[in-house]
Amino acid sequence: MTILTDLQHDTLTEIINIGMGSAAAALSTMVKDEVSISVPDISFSSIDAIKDNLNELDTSNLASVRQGFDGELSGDAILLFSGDKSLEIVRMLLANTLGINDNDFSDFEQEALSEIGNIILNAGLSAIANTLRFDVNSSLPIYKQGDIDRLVTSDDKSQTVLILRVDLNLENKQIKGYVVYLMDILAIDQLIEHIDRYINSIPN
Amino acid sequence: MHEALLKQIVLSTDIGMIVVTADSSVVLWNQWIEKTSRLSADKAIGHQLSQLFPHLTGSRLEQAIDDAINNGTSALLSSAWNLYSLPLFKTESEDADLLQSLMIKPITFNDESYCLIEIFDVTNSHNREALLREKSKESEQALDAAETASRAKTEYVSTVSHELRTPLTSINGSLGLILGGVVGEIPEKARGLIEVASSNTTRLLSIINDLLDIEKIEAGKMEFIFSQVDLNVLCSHVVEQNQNYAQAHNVCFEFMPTKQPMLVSADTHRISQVLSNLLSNAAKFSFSNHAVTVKLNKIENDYCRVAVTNHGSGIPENYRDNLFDKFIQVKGSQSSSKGTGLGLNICRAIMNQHHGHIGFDSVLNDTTSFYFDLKLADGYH
Repeated sequence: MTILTDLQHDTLTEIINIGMGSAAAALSTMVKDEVSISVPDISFSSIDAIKDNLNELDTSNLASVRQGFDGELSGDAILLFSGDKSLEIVRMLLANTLGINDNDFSDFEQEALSEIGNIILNAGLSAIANTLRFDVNSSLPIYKQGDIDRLVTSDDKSQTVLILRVDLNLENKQIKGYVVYLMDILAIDQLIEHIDRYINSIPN
Repeated sequence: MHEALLKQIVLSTDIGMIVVTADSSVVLWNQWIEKTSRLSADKAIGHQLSQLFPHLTGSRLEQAIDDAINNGTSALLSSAWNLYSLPLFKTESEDADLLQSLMIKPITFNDESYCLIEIFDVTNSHNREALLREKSKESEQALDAAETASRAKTEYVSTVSHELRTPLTSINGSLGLILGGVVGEIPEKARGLIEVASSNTTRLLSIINDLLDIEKIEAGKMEFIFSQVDLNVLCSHVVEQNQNYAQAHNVCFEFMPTKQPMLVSADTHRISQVLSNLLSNAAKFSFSNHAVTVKLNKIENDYCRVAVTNHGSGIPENYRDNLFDKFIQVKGSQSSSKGTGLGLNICRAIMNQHHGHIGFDSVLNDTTSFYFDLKLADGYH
């Protein structure tokens, strides 16, 4: 399994946190309230062991927003929240604008969550691409709900997973989620190579 | 595909399509967007979006276009947060009234970066959803009101039943004592009337007890005291107790025990209540001068079945699916004594608490068996 040195780990965490900062700023503007996002932990896992690394969530009922990315770095990025919590996120965020109050997760709310996911995933990807100088294109977000095995399909089996724990804070509430990047081993090697290049480019 | 045809498709498609260059100048403005923006392609092409719509400066749409061109990211601007990203018109209204979802995608062509903006009209689905939401809220409120009314009704019935039971018990007891000769010989003319009064107060008490039982069941307050019971002993006792009732209906109860004890874990009082109920139904709905049998036998999966069988008109087809529901009474039967229609519902609730099963088999104008099954205690399988 891929292991980063402490310096590589800290650098990647820092880059992603910068990206999440800009995602939080965008969400704050949208919901007209302060939203903060922190990434307390990142780790690598094999696809088979993904369940063991999502210990903050009930992996049998997840809400996900998935985007592909390609270019110099390719793979898929997936934002995961607990199925029930995801509705809470949308309600918390939309409450300021529309005051929705029913029990159904409608198309409207799925689309709303897709947009939140899109902002968070794009922010992470852009931070990595811009800082580490990758040329990356991302696709549109797709919303899905269900078991982890349904969300991470057999097509993904050959891939390695970079897992970020994401804490979303709004109105003194914290909602825990994960961003996982599915990449093949070549992409992971390339990512590490770019991290090293970036570290070396920083003047002592 | 021919380039001109492709262009025609893009221009005439039923979604809005705008393509802008890296400096946000419009290079494609299709017919859908012409119509909904009330701005012709001639006037739009060559201008920056922020010149056409000044309010877009600093907006999320402008940021998303910038990210698509400079970072290669695609974005979704849902109708949840961005009701009117672009000022578009669905009707003749003076105000923008077309709700929209936007998809922003980066495009590279001949080393030049472009951004494609696709615009979807979600006005109708948005309105439908709002209507559904409203209807759903109304249904919830109606349900709440109905539940509140139902609770109030149950409480009322319960209170009235409690208030009625005490004086009725006293009347019933007094009538029993008079009939028993405590106050001396009763004139023959008076005896008949007192017997009618006594049997009707007994019936009234049984109805009130049923109503109170249902209320307890629904409130989850019916208490059960489980102990190990031999069903042979319990059934024999209950059959004996109800023989007078059988005689009153011109039938007799015949008990067919098993050779071995049938030990189950049960609440004696409640299982006796179930069997009494089945016996009284069997007697009421039996042809005259027939036997009603009570038979015990071991069935599959280590259960014991108690079956009460009579000969009568049977259960009509249209009653069979909901016979155990509340207030269901078979009409047009030969029985003249009506109950509350709660007895079988209470029996089913009692059996549920025993993790048992209650059911029936019925052949019209022949035999009808009502039975209940209880799990045998360990060691008696």
